[in-house]
Amino acid sequence: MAGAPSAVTDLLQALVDGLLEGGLLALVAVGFTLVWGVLNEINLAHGALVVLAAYLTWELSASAGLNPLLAGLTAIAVVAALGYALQRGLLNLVARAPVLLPLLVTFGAGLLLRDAMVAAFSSDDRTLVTAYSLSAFRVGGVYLPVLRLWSLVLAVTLTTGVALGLRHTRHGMAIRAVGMDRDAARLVGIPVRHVYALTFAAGAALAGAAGAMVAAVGTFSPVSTDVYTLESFVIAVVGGIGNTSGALAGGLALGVLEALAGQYLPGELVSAIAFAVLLLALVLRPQGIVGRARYSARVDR
Amino acid sequence: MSLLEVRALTTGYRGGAVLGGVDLDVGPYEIVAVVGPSGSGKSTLLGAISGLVPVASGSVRLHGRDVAGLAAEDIMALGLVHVPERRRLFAGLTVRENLLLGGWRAGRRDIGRVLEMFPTLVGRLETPSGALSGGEQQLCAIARGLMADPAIMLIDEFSLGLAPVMAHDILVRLADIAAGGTSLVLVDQDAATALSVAERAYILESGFIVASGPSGKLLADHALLDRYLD
Ligand SMILES: Nc1ncnc2c1ncn2[C@@H]1O[C@H](COP(=O)(O)OP(=O)(O)OP(=O)(O)O)[C@@H](O)[C@H]1O
Ligand SMILES: [Mg+2]
Repeated sequence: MAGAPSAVTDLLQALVDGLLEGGLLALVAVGFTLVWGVLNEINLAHGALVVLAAYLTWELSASAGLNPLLAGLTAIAVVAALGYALQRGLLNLVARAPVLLPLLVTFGAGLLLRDAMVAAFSSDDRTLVTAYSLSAFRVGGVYLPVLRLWSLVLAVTLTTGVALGLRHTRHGMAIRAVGMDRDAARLVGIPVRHVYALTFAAGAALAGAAGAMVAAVGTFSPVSTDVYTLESFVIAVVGGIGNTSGALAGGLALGVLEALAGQYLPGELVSAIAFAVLLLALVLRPQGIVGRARYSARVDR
Repeated sequence: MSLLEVRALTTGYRGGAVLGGVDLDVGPYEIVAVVGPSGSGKSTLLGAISGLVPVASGSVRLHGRDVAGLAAEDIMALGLVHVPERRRLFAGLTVRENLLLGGWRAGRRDIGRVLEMFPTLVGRLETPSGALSGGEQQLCAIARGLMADPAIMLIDEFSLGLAPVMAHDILVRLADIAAGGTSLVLVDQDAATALSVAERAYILESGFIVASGPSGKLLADHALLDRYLD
């Protein structure tokens, strides 16, 4: 690769950056699509959970001096517990209501969380600098940050793990059954209120993992919440609602697209990429939103 | 003591009352039929017993314990399985997965016993249940219910959409199931079919039990059958 024209190197670098960023986006989105597919809830607080986990990781490691890995795990646990409580205590009460009501509840919860974070942490950008956050290696002319590589590995591992867990574990079976037909699930003895909350907690835990990763590799502030929710929405629609491997593919694709746009388009257009992808998806496969291919057998009265 | 003892059960939906005080008893090893015209409240009665439909007043005793007001999943765990109308299989899941879900609560993963009872399903284990024929779906729904090894099973519309040969096949199985220790409550619009296998029957009309007794006696009462059954 040495001596390659710089245009090619730039393209490769953009592709690599896109894939690495896309892994993170996939991790952000996989919990969102899971909750949407199984619970039929569009969780507008998802981005806030991501950022909350990022702050918790930051505070625990940078301020309290905890090992970053331990800090991340703690943040995940806290966000998952919060998710369980939110679903069990609030969202379960409106689970059978038309989709707008849960939507409003999550919208309110997201706003509340965001404002609380502004109050607690201010709205300045944060970046966690650790001993290994700057290490990278070069392949040819392309620069590979080590931590970002790890975040891609984590994203692939977790999304695959979620897909396998849904398929082969006892609770995974229960989650899928509840997503397909709530009453039939109760008739085989599945405690639906608990499984709903567990599903939401799993989605929140995935948001937490993404947040911990964001704290390690990226820059964040309370303003990021909306961006993460929007990107999750786009990825869920593109990848198929409830489809966890679709979220992985969609996340990687969106990451690459945004990176290429960053390379070749004027700045103001880059932020419109997610919207453009969403529009395109809606035109090309509107059943992505209304058809709910994964859990189309769901009957809820 | 009856296994299932329903007393003065009333319930309804937002549209109004559906059951006006139903009494019903089922003993061990018994097959009991509940028949009546469309809209008389048969499915609502089964739902009120299994916990799917909230009970307004009255009691539902299972093994002597009042379960009215418990969640459906908790009543199921006490040994009462409800095979609902339209079967409600998990259409996107395979027959095997549906069976495993039937044993989910009890942690039973051995599907051999129910496959022995329904050998037709053996070759269909990896088929999505939504792709089965109507008759096979009914077998799968009953087999899924039996995975829990329940003390009592309520089966709604058990002969609907079945070819006569298949219906006969299921009737024979049902007798075996009851003899094996799972009491049955069969609901059907086709009174003749239900009464042919049940020892006792209840006739439900507009939410009230208008007649009950041994199947033979009800079947012989032509005036009664003409009046209440299609
Ligand atoms: N979920 C519901 N919400 C409102 N009303 C309902 C509901 N389910 C049933 N009903 C009404 O309750 C009454 C009894 O219905 P139910 O389904 O119990 O009758 P059924 O005897 O099972 O009829 P069929 O033989 O047609 O299945 C009917 O008037 C029906 O319209
Ligand atoms: Mg009915």
